[in-house]
Order: sequence, then structure tokens, then C-alpha cells
Amino acid sequence: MDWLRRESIRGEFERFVSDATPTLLRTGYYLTWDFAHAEDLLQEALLRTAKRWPVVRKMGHPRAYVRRILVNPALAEAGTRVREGNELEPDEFFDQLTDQGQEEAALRVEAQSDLLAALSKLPIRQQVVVVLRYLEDLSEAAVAVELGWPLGTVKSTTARALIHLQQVSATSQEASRDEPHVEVNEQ
Amino acid sequence: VTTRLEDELRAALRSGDVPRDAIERLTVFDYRPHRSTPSLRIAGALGVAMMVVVGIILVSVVSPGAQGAYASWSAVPTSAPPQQASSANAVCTHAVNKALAINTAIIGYAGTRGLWKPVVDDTRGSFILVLLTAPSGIGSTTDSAACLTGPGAFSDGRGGLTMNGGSAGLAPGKVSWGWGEGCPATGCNHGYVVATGPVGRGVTGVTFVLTNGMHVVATVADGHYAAWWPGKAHPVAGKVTTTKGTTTQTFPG
Repeated sequence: MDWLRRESIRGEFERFVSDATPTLLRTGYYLTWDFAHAEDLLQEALLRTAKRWPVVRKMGHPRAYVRRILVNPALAEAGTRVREGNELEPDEFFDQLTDQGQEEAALRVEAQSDLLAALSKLPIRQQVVVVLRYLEDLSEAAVAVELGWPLGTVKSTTARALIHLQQVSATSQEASRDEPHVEVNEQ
Repeated sequence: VTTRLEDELRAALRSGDVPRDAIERLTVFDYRPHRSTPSLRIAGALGVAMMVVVGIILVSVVSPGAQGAYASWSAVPTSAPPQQASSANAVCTHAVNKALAINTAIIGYAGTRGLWKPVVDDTRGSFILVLLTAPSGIGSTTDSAACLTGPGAFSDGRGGLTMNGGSAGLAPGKVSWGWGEGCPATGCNHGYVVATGPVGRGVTGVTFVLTNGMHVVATVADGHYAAWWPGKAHPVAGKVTTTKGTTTQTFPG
């Protein structure tokens, strides 16, 4: 707790929060599909990290420490969600996607929306692995360490997720080919 | 095929904007651990928020009618009947475990729940500040919790409860300085300051010198110190007594 008295360490923590928050908030969103919930989770995670900052900073991977705090509740809550039958749907996130006013860009946005919608319907363990692998750009080995899972479990979970998402991606591409061609005239 | 899909996934996961206001709130939030905010989150959820503490012993900053609540407080620790200390320890251990039982899912203290033990009883008149510690689950560090018990609002464990994390062992003769304001749920106009932390081997005494000139002697036991005082005066210096003598460390304002 005496890190409060040391400006350099305190500044280091504040820089870490500033640098890491955008990506961690995005990660939290993909674990909950709710920005308000993600914000709450991340705030709690950062509070915990602050309490242990003198120790966490020495670990060398503070972002991994926060991520783990974020991921664990998501994994723990997964069962509850299923039991309650609450289908989690990406919602406002898609509303924020920019309408670029061009056919190609619009189709790309639509394809990304389909992909994210499919991701949100995967089992939570597959979602977590996909987010860590392709948003946080962690290797399979790093994911295994971070989640405390065997490497083989990470590989098989990733593979299952990709197989499902591949089907969605292929379907989306076929649908876009079937769409009638529309001329877009920019004013 | 997988590589293309992986690229699509990377792009999709990075598409769209995260809310700027959420980022702003998260980056400006005060995460400092020894202040009242984390404690109040716990206390608020429990309904055991720190109660209004009216009056302090410093006549200059309190109303005459408020003095009574802290009339028994002293700058030097006193002794408590064994039964009172035992009761305070039990009340505080229960309060901490109850707080964590409710907040484990959010705060994530599952690893330490049930393992808390009192290490320091700092008695001042009819008040006892109990410092409890538990393994943090990370290396050999410990979490700590300070719980103020006493008459009135503090009689049943509904007094101040503050949580701190991640204290590691200290070198001989060293002190980990830390303090924070106990801010009642009903407002921060009145309150107290709690100072706790670990000490290295050989430390036999810790004294705080406050901004108002008062010297508050802490209780040192079992590798930790604990002290508290009414009001908001913060320490400007700390005195450490070891077998080799007494040294003074000043704190930046």
C-alpha cells in the first residue's frame, strides 16, 4: 500500500490503466456482450490489480493478470446463463459499426456482424479462447498458461470454435454473392 | 482457409468503437487501494458501511457535542480486558469473512476467505482496531483487513472495514507505511484515519507525527503495526524504533 507514496510507481500504474483499458474493455465486452457489465468487471479487475500492484508489476505481465480476473467470472457465470436460458445477443455493438456508405464496406461490416453473432453463440470456453487468440493475439501456449488449461485443451477448443465459425463465414460469403448488385452513387 | 478465417476474426473483433465515455470513466477512476473507495464498495454491498463517527478528541475541529463519541480515544494505546479483545477479534473475523462471502464473485478474494486471523489489537479507550491478515494466494504476500470496533455504531461489527492487498515480507528494521481515511457512508465530513502495515524484524515501535502536530503511537505485534485517530489529519512523518535506536522518516505532502 505504500506504493501510494511513490509517484513513479503510481504513475506507472496510471499509464498501464490508460494504455490497457481500450483493449481490455473490448475483451470484457466479448466475454459479456454488454458494455456496462464489461465496464463493471474491468473496474473491479483494475481495483484488484491496484491493490496488488507492487507485486503484479514485478510479474512482468500486468495485462495478463487483469485479463485473468476478467475471464474467470465470465467462465464461472457461463453455467448460470445457460441455466437461466438467457440468450446473450450482441446488440448495441453492431449499432456502432460505421455505415461507410459503400457496398463493399457494408458487406464487410455485415460479414463481421455475422461472425461476431456466431461467436456470441459459442460455448463460453470457445469464446474465451477465440478472444484471447484473435483479439489479444496470444499464442495457444500463452492461452494455456493464462487459463491454466492443458495445451491440448486449448488447441481442441480453438479448433471446434473455428470449425463452427468457418461455416458461418462460408454461408455469409455465399449470401453476399447472391445479393443483387447495387450501384452506389456518392453525392 | 483457417488463416483467412483467422484474419477475418481479428478484423471483426477489432471493428467498431468501444464507448469513449466508458474508457474515460475507467481511466480517471481512483484505484488507490488504501483509500475508502474499495472498502466502501464492500461495506455498501454488505450494509455494514462505516457509520457516522461524530466528534474527535481534537477540540479545534469538532463540535463540543460530538466529542463524547471519541472521548475515550488516546494517542497512546491502552489495554483492554481479555474478554473485550476476544469479542472484537471474533466480531471482526466474522465481518471480514461475511464481506468476502458476499463479494467473492466480484472482488475475487475466494482464496483468502476463511483464513483470516487477527494479528494486531490496537486498543484506545473503549475502541479496538483489529488488523487481520490472510494469505493472498499470490506468492508469500498477504492481504490485510482493518476493522474498528467500539461502542455505539461500532458495537456489532458494523464499524469501519478496510481491505488491503499484496503486502510482502519486509527487510529487518523496515516499515511499510500506509494509511487511509475511514469515510462514513453517510458522508465524509467526519471520520477517522486508519494506519496499518507490515514491519520487518526488529521493529519494536512505530509512531506517527500528524499534520496537526499530534504524535500517535501505534501498536506493533506479529510483524504488523496498527493505529487510528479521529479526524482527517494525515501523517507527515513516521518514527521507527528498533533495537538500534529510533529513526524518523518524513512523508511527502
